[in-house]
Amino acid sequence: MISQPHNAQLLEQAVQGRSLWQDAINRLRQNKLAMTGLWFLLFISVIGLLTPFIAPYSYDGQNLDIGATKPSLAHWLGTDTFGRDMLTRIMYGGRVSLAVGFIATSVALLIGVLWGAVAGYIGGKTDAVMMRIVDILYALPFMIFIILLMVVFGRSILLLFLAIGCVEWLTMARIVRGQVLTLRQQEFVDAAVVMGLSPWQIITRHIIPNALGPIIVYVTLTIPSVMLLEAFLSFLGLGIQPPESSWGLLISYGVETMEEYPWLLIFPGLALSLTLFALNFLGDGLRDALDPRSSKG
Amino acid sequence: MALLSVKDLSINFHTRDGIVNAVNHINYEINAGETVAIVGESGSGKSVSCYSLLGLVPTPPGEIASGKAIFDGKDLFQCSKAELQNIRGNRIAMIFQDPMTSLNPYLTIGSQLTEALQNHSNISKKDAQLKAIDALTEVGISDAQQRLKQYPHEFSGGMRQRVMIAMALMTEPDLLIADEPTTALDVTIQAQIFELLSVLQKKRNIAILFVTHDLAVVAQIADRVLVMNKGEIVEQGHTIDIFNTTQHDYTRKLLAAIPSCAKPAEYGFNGKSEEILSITNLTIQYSIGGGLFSEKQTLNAVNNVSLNLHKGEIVGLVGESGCGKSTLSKTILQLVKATSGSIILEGKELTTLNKKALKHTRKDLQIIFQDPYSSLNPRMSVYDSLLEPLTLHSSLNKAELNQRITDLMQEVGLSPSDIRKYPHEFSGGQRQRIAIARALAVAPKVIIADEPVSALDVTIQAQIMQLLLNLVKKYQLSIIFVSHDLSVIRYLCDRTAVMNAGKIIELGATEDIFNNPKHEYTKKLIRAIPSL
Repeated sequence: MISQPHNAQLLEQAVQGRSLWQDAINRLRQNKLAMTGLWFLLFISVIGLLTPFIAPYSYDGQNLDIGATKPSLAHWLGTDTFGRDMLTRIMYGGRVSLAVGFIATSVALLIGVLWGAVAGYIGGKTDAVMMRIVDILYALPFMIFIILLMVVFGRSILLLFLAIGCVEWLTMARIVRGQVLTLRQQEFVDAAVVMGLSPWQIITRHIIPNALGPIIVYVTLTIPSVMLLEAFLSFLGLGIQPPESSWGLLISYGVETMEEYPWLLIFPGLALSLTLFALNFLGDGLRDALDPRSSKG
Repeated sequence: MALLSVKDLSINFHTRDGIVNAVNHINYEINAGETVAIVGESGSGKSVSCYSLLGLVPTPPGEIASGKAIFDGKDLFQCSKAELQNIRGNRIAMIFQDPMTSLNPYLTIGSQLTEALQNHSNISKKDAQLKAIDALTEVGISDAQQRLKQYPHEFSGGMRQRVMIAMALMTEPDLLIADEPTTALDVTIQAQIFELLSVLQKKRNIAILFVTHDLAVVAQIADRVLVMNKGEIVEQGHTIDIFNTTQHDYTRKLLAAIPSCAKPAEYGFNGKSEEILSITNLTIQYSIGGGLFSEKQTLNAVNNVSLNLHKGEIVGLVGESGCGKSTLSKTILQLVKATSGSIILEGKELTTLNKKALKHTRKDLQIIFQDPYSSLNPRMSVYDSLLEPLTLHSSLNKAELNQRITDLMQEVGLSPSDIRKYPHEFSGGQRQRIAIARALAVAPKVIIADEPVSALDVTIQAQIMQLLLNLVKKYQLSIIFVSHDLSVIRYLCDRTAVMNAGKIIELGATEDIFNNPKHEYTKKLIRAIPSL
């Protein structure tokens, strides 16, 4: 028979660092690729925050004398056709692209996960009504919706973020609902009901953690599509307007001058692809880290 | 000359933790027209050794490390893919455990039946269909011509297994490998399938290799038995010899674990304590359909059922799938709403309790599920799983909580040092112990046990049943024990209620029911139990 103090000690050790999230962080730390992705994202986020202080030039200062020069010591990534420094413009563009990526995706994530989880868990008529609302929103022409918003509230970046988020959550809600429908059949959910947990506790503690895999995969897909959507809207004149910049905008202008001035396309493209790579690595790592079955923690 | 002789077969699996030796130098033979049973617990290598014969073991991670399987003069492991494909389905056929997943839901029975035949011979579509009709008739499916056009979901479980057997017979195989073909079926259906197999075997002189974990089934159908444990054949011989003059310790352990009589008298219910749960005239109707725009249909899942339970008593609820026993237990737990009738737990009417009172009452009424793989949240450590009910229903401080969790772990026979592990790191039996600990955490008065041992190996099943008996004795727990396994019911329960089509058709002391069943259906059930 084990003595009591020994037990208490064992338990003390055992309990430390064993919530799902702490375990996940430990597992994530061991995944080198995911950690590289995480550090890269942190790095560009910090650069984005500090851009106004560390940018070598001003983002809208035109100098037609040095229009479209190749990368040099003075202008590391070259200049665009108006003679604006590309490094500076990519740094400023990153602020917008990252913000739109993260804010719009967070909005989509928050609304979509809750909407889908509630609809799927409660089921019945509530589910039917909630999902029909999703269907109706799906059917609304997205462009008209955004143009209307811009007309009514005036053009602002924040509104753009929200508008994109409000569109992207629809798919998320459907994915989550599908997951929840299968999870709800699992006996541990019944066990939780019998234990006396409220529906809200069951959704947050038992259902959502088990649906995280597909959610994370979808998030890593949503962030790039949101960044490209922003570029598209800006191109139509609904989003960011020059001289302000975003990666999507830089890329779309880069494409026009691709043959003469390839660096105008290559560098913003590289910034976007590296970020997306980092996101995917981090997403994969997170998915594995959040699943206790995937590896020995 | 034997039809199939397996010599020195070893199979390894390459996993992250190194090489696992799943099958270890086994030898056996099967003659034409003979039934050989491979019996063993999960992980004993019994299925892998059979799957390897048909090249169904995925390589990698699997690897056939050594050995030969001579089938009709040819080594199956040396065959080319084309040769193997010709033997597979044509000479050796297979029936799987779960008839729900082994048929393709998108194809008609007819096209699935004729598929193998048309691949293996130049038979015309019409002749193949005629043959399919013959095969279906042979396995006892009437109206075969009509049913060829139906899809798998239009058949019941037992019927689907008949279709699987018909499919296996289409190509007139010499050897039939049956991997637990009746484990997913009710006991009366199981008896029918055995009957069918033995008739077909006599008629066609087929050899049957029967994989099972159930020794009673072996006793009923096999000519010879191979007992496997940890990848090795520990004993083989004629069925009668194995059961009468068992040599190996492991076989003895397996035999001893089969519940064959009533529990020891010391665990019996004295019949004197007060009533704790009483169910009167309970009816539960399910509505089918009923979306926003469609009309509902109702179905009586449970029909006017009355049942009572005393303190410290175990009442068995037995019946075949679809009889309403699970619905009844879910209604007692208030997971499903009763349509009419009353459920009174210690003087409290459960069906009309408001949300707050119900939440409070829930701690008196807990459940243990059948499948310990889905009844624990895979993303919660054992500690978190046990902590959850405790924080909800008690006001213990952190040290007291930890102490209580340690006690619970020891109570159910788990080591407190395993508390940081996640469910997937435990075996099935251990998981069931965790589920029991979680149910016990809030000191309930009544536990509904929904087939808690039917997913477990027989030796583990014996341990879990003993654990339940100890807990009942120690805490004066009352248990409603739902099962389709009559021998388990007979071992554990003081009283037994037999359910059929939503009604309790017989209720009485367990021994009375087994020795002197009154209702026709009960008699049929008891006759169908395979016995040693």
